[in-house]
Amino acid sequence: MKVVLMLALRSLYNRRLTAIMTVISISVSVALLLGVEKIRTEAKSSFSSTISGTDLIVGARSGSVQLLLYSVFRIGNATNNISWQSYQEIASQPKVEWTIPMVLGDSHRGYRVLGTTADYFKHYRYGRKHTLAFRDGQPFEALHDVVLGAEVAKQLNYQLGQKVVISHGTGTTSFSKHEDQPFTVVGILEPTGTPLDRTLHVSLAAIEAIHIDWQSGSYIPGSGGTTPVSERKLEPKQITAILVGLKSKMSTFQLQRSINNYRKEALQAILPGVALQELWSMLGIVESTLLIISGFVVATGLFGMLTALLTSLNERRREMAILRAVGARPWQVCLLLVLETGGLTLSGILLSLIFLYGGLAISIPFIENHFGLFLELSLPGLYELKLLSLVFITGLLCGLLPGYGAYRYSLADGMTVRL
Amino acid sequence: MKLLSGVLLALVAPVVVAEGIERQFESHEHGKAVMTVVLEGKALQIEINSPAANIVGFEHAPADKQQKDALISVIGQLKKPEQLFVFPDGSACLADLAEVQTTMMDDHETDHDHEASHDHETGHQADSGHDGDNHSDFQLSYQFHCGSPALLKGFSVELFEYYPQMKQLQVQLIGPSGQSYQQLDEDNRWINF
Repeated sequence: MKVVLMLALRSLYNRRLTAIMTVISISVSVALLLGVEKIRTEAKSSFSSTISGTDLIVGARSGSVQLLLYSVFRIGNATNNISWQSYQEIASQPKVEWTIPMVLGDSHRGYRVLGTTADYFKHYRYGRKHTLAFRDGQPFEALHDVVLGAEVAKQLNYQLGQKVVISHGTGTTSFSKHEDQPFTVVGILEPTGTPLDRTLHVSLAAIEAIHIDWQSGSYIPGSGGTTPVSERKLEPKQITAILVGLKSKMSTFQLQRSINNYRKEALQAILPGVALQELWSMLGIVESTLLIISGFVVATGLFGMLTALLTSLNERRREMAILRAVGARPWQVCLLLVLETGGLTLSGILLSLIFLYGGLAISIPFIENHFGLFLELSLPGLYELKLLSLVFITGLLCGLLPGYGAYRYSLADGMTVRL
Repeated sequence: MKLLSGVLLALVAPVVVAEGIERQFESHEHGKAVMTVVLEGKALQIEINSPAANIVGFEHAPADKQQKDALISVIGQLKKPEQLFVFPDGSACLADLAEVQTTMMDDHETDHDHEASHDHETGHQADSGHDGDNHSDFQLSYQFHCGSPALLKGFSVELFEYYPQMKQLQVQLIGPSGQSYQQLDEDNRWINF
């Protein structure tokens, strides 16, 4: 056995260039498998960390996924609004620690405008309880202040102090603009990797203010009365959704039930974590596609190794014959080849780990900055180890094929000089 | 003036109620039940809302002695949480509260008996139980105190063992790692925190 191992190593050393290439091709494919697996799990956790720390989301009664989509992901629209009165009744519940009212419906060059309160910047959490941080400026204070998400500022190249006009409705090319009341950029947020980056934030009062002169869906100057904006009590009559934080998680389901059974308005409260999971399970097909693709990549790598070995076997007939001539038994020749593939696969796997973690360590800051995807440099989990051992065993088994070939060659086979 | 406003209020009040949504029903699907679990600190709270058919096999108020006995024995059984939930060794979870409410119990006799055996207020959750041919539900509430919650990585739910009509439990979970959703059935009884 020891001798066979020795021989395998020596023989490999003799063919080091092909051996190294085989190892590299295996390691690249395995690194890809692990990388895809990593991104798959991390994208899932990043997706589910779009919102964290919020116990309930309240909106009009519809579907939990729909409510999640329009309130958190800014996709689609609400079926109904919530009356300001119901909002206040929920906010004043003793179990409630904080609430964030949200008004959606206006936009700026295709980006959604969110009307909310300054509490949004204080209580909204994403990822592993990250708070919102300002890259520049501060939360809105004056009526016509706007805080931009990172992507909005970057794509439209906006700076602090710049004037921004908000469009009525949510189309990318809206013709009805709130041009009478331009906003001033007072803050730009750090990138979060969430839909928040693509949002403009203004105060609830501002949303009210820009709609003063809007009557039955169209802008009629002066129709809202002549009282100056600064002297009005700007309180919304209806809002789109509410984020709720509770004092104790114990009361989550109680409050959810009482909101869902609320008699005066058809409201719905959802658990964001549960709704995110529901949504992700709908996207499950994408997840399994990624996995299948990376599985094929590994299969390709192993086939490459098999091809290289089978090709080299032809050239190594003489080597095998000499081994047999000096007294090696057929099974020892076979073992030699299995050990060789095993060794190649193992070093490929080890190299792939170096590739993966080296690559991750270098690219994590870049990925975080550009895609907002927060990867964690963690040791391979049980699932990854299972995948790796599966690759290793398949590699070993691959050795059996050329091994069997070598086993069958007669002693004379390699000795005869063919003309 | 005060009297007048009182009169006004009395006049206004029913109008407000009438404006509200009064015809609403929760979903009711036989074979399925909804379960909520919250673990915070050392307190574990479990609630199950199930159509009565999953548990006793019928949904009308018990008609004869046999059905009445069946109902009483089921309620007795549901009040033994240590049989319904199996916790990992060492987590030291002990039941603080086991409460069973059902909209089937139109019978005041059994209702009183129920109340006597437990200090907690029992009542008809919805009006539906009063109508003979309506759907009925069971609402089960349990509270546990867990000595070492760190060891409570999960627990198993044995309801499927006792109530074969119960096919699926949809579990909404709030644990140390956040909110999640799980589905349990006869073959998969383990709730993972």
